[in-house]
Amino acid sequence: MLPEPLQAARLQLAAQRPYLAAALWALVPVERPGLGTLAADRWWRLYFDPAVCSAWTVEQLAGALYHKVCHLLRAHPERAEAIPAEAAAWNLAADAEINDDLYREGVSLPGQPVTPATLGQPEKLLAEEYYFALLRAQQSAPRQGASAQPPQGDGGAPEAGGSPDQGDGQRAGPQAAAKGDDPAGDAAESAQDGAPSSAAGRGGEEEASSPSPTTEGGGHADGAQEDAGGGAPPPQPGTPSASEAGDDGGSTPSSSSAQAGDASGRSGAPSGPAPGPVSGSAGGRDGIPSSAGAQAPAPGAGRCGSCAHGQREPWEDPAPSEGGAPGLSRAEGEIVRRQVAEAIRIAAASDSRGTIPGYWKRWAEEKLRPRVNWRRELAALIRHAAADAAGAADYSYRRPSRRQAASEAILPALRQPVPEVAVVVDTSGSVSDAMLAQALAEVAGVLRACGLRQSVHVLAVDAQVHTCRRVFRPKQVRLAGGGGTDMGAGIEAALRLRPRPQVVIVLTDGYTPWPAEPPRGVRVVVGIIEGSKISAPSWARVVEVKSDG
Amino acid sequence: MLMRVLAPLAVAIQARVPVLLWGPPGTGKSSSVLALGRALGVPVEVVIASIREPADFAGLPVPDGVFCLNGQQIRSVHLAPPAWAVRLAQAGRGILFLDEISTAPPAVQAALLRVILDRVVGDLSLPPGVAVAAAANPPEQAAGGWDLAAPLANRFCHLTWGLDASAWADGMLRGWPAPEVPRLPEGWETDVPAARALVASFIRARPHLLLQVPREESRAGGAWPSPRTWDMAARLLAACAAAQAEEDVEAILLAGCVGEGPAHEFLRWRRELDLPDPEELLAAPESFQLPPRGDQQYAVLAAVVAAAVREPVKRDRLAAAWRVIDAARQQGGGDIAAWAVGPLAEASSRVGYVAPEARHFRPLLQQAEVK
Repeated sequence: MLPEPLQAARLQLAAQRPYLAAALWALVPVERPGLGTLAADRWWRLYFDPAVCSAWTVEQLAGALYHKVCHLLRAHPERAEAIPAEAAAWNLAADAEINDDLYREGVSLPGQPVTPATLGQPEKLLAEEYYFALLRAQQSAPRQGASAQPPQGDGGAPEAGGSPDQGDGQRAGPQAAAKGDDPAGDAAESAQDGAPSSAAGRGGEEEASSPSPTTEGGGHADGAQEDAGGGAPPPQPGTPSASEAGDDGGSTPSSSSAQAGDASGRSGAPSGPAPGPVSGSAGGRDGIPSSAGAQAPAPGAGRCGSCAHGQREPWEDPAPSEGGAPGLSRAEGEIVRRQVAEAIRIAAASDSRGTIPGYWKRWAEEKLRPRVNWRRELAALIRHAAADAAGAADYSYRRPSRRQAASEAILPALRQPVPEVAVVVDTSGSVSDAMLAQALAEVAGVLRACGLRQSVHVLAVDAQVHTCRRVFRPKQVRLAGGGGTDMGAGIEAALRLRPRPQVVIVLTDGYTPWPAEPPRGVRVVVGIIEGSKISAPSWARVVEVKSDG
Repeated sequence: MLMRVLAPLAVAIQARVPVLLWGPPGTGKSSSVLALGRALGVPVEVVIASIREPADFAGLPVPDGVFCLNGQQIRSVHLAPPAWAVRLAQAGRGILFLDEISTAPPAVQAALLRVILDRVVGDLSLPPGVAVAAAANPPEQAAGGWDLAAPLANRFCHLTWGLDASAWADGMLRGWPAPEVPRLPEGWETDVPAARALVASFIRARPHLLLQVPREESRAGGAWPSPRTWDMAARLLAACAAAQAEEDVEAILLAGCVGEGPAHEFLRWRRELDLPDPEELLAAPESFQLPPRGDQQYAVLAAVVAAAVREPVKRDRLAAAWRVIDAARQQGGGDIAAWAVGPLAEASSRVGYVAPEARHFRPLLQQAEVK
């Protein structure tokens, strides 16, 4: 049974985001006294410490709960498995993927949440992108960051690992110190970036040493207090200006926490390759191994448990099938995800005020109607058209089978005629060159895979045919033209070629008239590039080519 | 994950539902099927479809002697089965494993249709104990690959072959253990009619899910719902129940037959079947027992509230619903009860009913700063 503050947090979250209700109710609470925080595992079991529930505010509980549900809804354990990813780095990457969205929404999180800025990365990327960026940063700068700030990193790690009885307060203190000091060192290096980075960095430090659990850094404040009791002094706050940043973060999280994220983003970006990744690589190499040695979770701050990376943490129960508390199986998790996605879709239909964040809408759309990969679809269409036109490796009696000698019956042999293909490229001004080049490259790749190297014509067409070449390397295609558009003219010109093509592939943005009648004796595949599908003839096979961004 | 696909594969093979493994080359699909054959104690025949001709599956035409029909001399031909088919027929059971079927030319794929569905090779019928499994490389990974033709794709349960790096590393170090797979007991097929009835009533509730031919060419070669795949799904459901397989195994198999969306819709529908009837709870609120899981709690409470506020609204029904809601709160589901109570509170104030239980929720609502 959930303690009342946690019930209130869950209810508050559900009231603010009704579309998440199915996921919130699906969490299976497991009481874990002494945990010091909230944690969740991949089976949707929510571990909570009753003491923490009364120490944190309802908003903070709701924020942590929201963060956990985001991990589970975004299927982070499954995605980590698919890479397969190393747990600590993946956890940071997954946190960064979630937290930039949460910051924009003004959600308050306990502790020191990992953001893309902490990793020295731009916002709005996927966890996979952050993960590989982290790995690259770890490989490219071995031990450089550590030597830059040995006292914090080296002092922090053994201390936390060596005193397990003192819990996470021990760990949170040194880690906060390392992170807080890091950008401050940055600031010393570059004077003009000094202000925002030290504000962000020392803001965290300030929170860590602040006794009030109502500031944004409540989790760490909590830890720091225990820390002080345990004998290790908390880090001293920095300049007075830093406390302003900390106070702001606590009182009006919606605006200032976003600013804080931006500020540290700005500080990370211009400081160049060496200092930029310092905060990131320090987090990955010094901060995180030290936390990996500890026995306690830090929600949102790079140690979320198996709800993020799928591997069992020391505080977690074994899998439900191995005798742990009941939880949700993979299939049930997927059911919950779909339920939430449907709720979002229904709510989004009547959401005129834009209360549902855009990323949730996109997530729901993707979940319920996965976007077709245009490359795959284009390849499939071309393969089919080519195979149909060729009579696809059919059996013929023109040449006897090689098995003939072994048999009395007359056997056919395999013959594969190679079809003629023409590619009509729309070079009117409205088509973006970059997308055209991508689409052309894709077509070339597919045709080459089908064994069609020789018999391909490429026609550059706007209102009339400009060039017609028998080569096929996307770079060699001269994209002349640039006036009005008529793809009908292009198809006609293609059909006048000798030998007559059996397959015509048209790449256009769709702003073109088409012939009313299907051209005879030829299969037409149309790739609509980034168009809003102005027109596509019903007699052609159509695929939409969209940029992947 | 290696182990994740192995259990569904074992169930499908024992249930003799044709199964197709999608996966990159060199990831141990064939060796896993061979290992499975050893574990189940049945022979496995591996036939690489891409280097075969249609005649290898439709039967090689061999002229017979001359015979007389109505005074005419006629030469006839019979379709001789290849040796692997004869071996399987003699064994009476086994696994026919068709490798690389997506790289087989379309004419060969067409000939495979009859083997896979009817288990007929040439003039020889394979005995019912023979299961068919196949493997394919995704077209973008295969040399000269084709997407599977839609009719062929729709005859399979599609499983995606993935790899688990840590399981693989263990296997490299300690050798590959004989897989532990769920076993189907004798006589499991007696459960098939019940599973079919369940699927049928689901389709009655969601008729649009009976047939959804994918519009995209690249998806037609995967799993999509059709009467045939729902039938396969029913068979697999019965098999899973008999083998006491985990729910994940069932979900993978269902999604492999009818596609992910319909499969999860079905599982969700089935899960809500065994919840208590709201009318019974309204008649006897004191009997309410909070279900163990949050999603079930919400489903039950929402159903009770919906039943209570249905027109015409009656005060005694409202009061009973409030008692159920309050019991849920006392048993530990306070937040879920407070969430489900919305329509009930609204209906109560509309008819001027003041529920004595309402005040119990006030502290929680205040703490959450909700209304």
